[in-house]
Amino acid sequence: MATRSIRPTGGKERIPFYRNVKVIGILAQLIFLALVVMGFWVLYNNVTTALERANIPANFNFLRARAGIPIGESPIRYNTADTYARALWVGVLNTLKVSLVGVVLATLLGILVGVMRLSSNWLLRQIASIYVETIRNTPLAVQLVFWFFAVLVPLPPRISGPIELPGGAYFSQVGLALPWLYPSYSFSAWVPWLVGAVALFVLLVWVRWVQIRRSERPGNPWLLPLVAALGLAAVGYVVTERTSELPPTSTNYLPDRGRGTVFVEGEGGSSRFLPYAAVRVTIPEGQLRDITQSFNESRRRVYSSFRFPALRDHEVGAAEVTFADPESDAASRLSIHYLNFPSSGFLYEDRNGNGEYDPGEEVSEAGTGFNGVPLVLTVENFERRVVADRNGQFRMPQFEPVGAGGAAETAEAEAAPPPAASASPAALFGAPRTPTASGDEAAETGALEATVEVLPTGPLVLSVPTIPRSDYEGGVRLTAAFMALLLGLVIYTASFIAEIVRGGIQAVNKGQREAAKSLGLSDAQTFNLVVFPQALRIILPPLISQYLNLTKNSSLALLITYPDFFAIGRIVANQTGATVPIILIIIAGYLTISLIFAFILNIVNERLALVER
Amino acid sequence: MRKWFVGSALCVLIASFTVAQAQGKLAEVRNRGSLVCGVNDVLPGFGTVNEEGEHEGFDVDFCKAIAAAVLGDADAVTYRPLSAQERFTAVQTGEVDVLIRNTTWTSSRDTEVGLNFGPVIFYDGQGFMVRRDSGIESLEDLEGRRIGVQSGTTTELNLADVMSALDIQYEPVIFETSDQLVAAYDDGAVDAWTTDKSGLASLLISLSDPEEHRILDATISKEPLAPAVLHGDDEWYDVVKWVIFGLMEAEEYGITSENVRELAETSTNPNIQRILGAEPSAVEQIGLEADAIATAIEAVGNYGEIYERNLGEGTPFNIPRGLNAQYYEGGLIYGMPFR
Repeated sequence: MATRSIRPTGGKERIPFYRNVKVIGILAQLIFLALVVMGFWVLYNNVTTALERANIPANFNFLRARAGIPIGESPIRYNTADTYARALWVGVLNTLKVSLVGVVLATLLGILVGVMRLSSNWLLRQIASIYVETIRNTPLAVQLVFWFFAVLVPLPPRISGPIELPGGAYFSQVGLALPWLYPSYSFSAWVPWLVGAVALFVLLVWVRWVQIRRSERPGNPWLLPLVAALGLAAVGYVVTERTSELPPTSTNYLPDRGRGTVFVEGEGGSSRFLPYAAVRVTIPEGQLRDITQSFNESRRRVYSSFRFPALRDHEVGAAEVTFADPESDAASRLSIHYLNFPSSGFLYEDRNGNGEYDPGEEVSEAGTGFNGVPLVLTVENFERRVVADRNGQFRMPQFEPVGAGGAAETAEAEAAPPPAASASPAALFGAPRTPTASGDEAAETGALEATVEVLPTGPLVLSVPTIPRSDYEGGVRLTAAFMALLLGLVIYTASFIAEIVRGGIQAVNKGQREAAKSLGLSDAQTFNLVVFPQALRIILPPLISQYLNLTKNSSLALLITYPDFFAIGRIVANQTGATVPIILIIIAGYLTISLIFAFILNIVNERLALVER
Repeated sequence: MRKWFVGSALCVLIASFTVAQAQGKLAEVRNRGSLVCGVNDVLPGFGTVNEEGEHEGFDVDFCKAIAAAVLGDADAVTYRPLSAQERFTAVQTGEVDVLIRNTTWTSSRDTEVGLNFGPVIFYDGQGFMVRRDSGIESLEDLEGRRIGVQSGTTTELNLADVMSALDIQYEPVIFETSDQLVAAYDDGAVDAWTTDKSGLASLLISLSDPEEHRILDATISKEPLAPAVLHGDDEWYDVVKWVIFGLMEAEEYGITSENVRELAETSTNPNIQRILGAEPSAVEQIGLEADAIATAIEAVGNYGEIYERNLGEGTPFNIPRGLNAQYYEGGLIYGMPFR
């Protein structure tokens, strides 16, 4: 059309919909929504068809199947007969364990370093800034691998020669073992007393609070109630210890396996294991075996050394180390020198014939340091008190009856029935070898006398670590992987927390400090009562996100063998092929943990925030 | 509208990931002029890369044998190093023609994963490595010890099953990679570590002092290692099977890389004649040239020669033939007859 008619407008002009900003806006959003929905649909469709084609399960049924995967450490009872769901739950608990401990330690270290950065002492200030700059500029994964593979595994001594720390703790490359208190069979009888103590505490605090309010004078409402509550708990402890009786128990200790379980006899002949029972094992006469080996404490292979399981002096009446085969060539030429009787020592060749060891008489046969001369440690009146674990199981060094030499062992091996095919197929390389007889048979035929007593204890029982073989028993144990993860996370996160703390303190107005000084408050009082409480309000929100970071960063545990949620999730995915469901579970799990953390911390934050009118 | 277009184009692109297979694998390999072989490159003795950057090892020699038989040239192989996780996908998608990467023949891999396994070339089993000075001599001695194992493998599951069957309690330490596991064992952080015995023997020499360690006699699982091809191409499956049977038969009849040409002309033994192509039909039935097996033997030697060269006494691994000896010497290696 050549001409265009101009219509008179009555104040309202119709705009075509494609030029209407409102309509375009809605349309654009609809298109965007459609694209997003389509994108998700394509993804979903792709994943499901691909999974179907590749025969990969896309449901959660596998969770109820038997897992069969071994897990190194677990805060709850777990064995390979448990389900995948329980294996994942163990992972969640391991993640929570390292996160909670990590958060507390990182906060303490972070505040310390943050305050140090503001110190007037030049050296402290420099140390703190070097720490912060180095740590926060290095990737966490690198730090974790450093702590585990470069520090905690290669540097500490082997478990056979651990560092003994005061108080009965042990440290070695396997980790740190500390004495720990566990609830015993009579703990439940003590619980009412504890509840009473808590109630008394609350009541007294309330009474004291009201009193102080009324008197309008400063006072401490906590001290007296605390003393009273502790007193009540202590009285309850003594009463429970006196009155509760040890239930009838039985044990199935196998000396040559070095393990036993404590059972408690239930009604109707049923029995179940008794957790955390204190047990005393006495062996009038028994033998431990060892083969001499290279002395590689410092990787210098000089001696042919031996090292029996760590026995403590008070545990044995008498002990003697002899050659297992007195007729052997080694026994006729070599002598035994004790370094730390009876646990360790080495062989020497008495070249000058004076009957004792002189420097230079060490032997290292075959040049490689390994000698392989069998030795036995004969122990008389061995007595050890241990506390069983949560499965009622306790472990001892593996004792044999005196005189059970190599000949007896081979005879036993020949007499043993062929092993079940499923358990042990014939050897592939070299000569086939039948495993030696099982522990039960040996215990029946052997002449080793061992008595196991289950000891009555109070509601709490102190468990002291021992080393029966090549692992810790009793106490609480921090594995090298756990320590490496904790160290890495704490040191890394603390460097960020330090900066947050520094920022928070510096943000407090200088006038506040000056006012406090003019009131005559000391430096410490100024900091504790005036500056820090105000800084805390600024610090808290960014601190919360650091806590969440620490929790999420713990998923790097799979680099260093710590079985956290992510590591176990990956193993399960690999064994079942159910990758997608597992990833969904892992995402949901971390989301839940983080949201709960954030929820709790935000409540704290709200309580502390400045109340604005 | 362009958004729509881009979006739908993307969908089509994502959704169309199907590979049409027009021809059989044998013809495909011949047209290409090279065999794509999925191998391991970090397991000394079985599949590794030497200082000159060439692939070598027990598994690799079987790749060469198949290439020699099909293409007449043992060097016409394109090696595709694969990880344990990648290997099956590589076969399923046709990325590799044959997978010879210390892979255990199991029912789920044969059916669910969609592979076909050729003759077992190495009978393996899961074992344990310990320090000589640890006093561990049998599985029972592992009671209360720390055992390292690699995560996501069948060895992890076998370990748990066997130990619970024998009522041996141990502490598992699970490592993400084999390297970490070996390093931790070398540092003494675990008392024993477990994997296939061939892997133990192969990695033993990488420890700081191999003399200090030993592999326990006990074997806790069956691990038959076999080459694998994609299910559904019988012609190609036959080729892989019979080249390997040919190498096994060659050892039985004393045909070596040295004397193969001479025997091909002079031998009057009908069995040897059939294998080496003097009587062409036996080999031609498989779809190969009459002298294909002879070419393969000339290139890499018979089964025994391959074994000795890569794993035998002259090598650092020195794995006894054991189950991998010929059937007439008490082993399980049994080449099917050419007829």
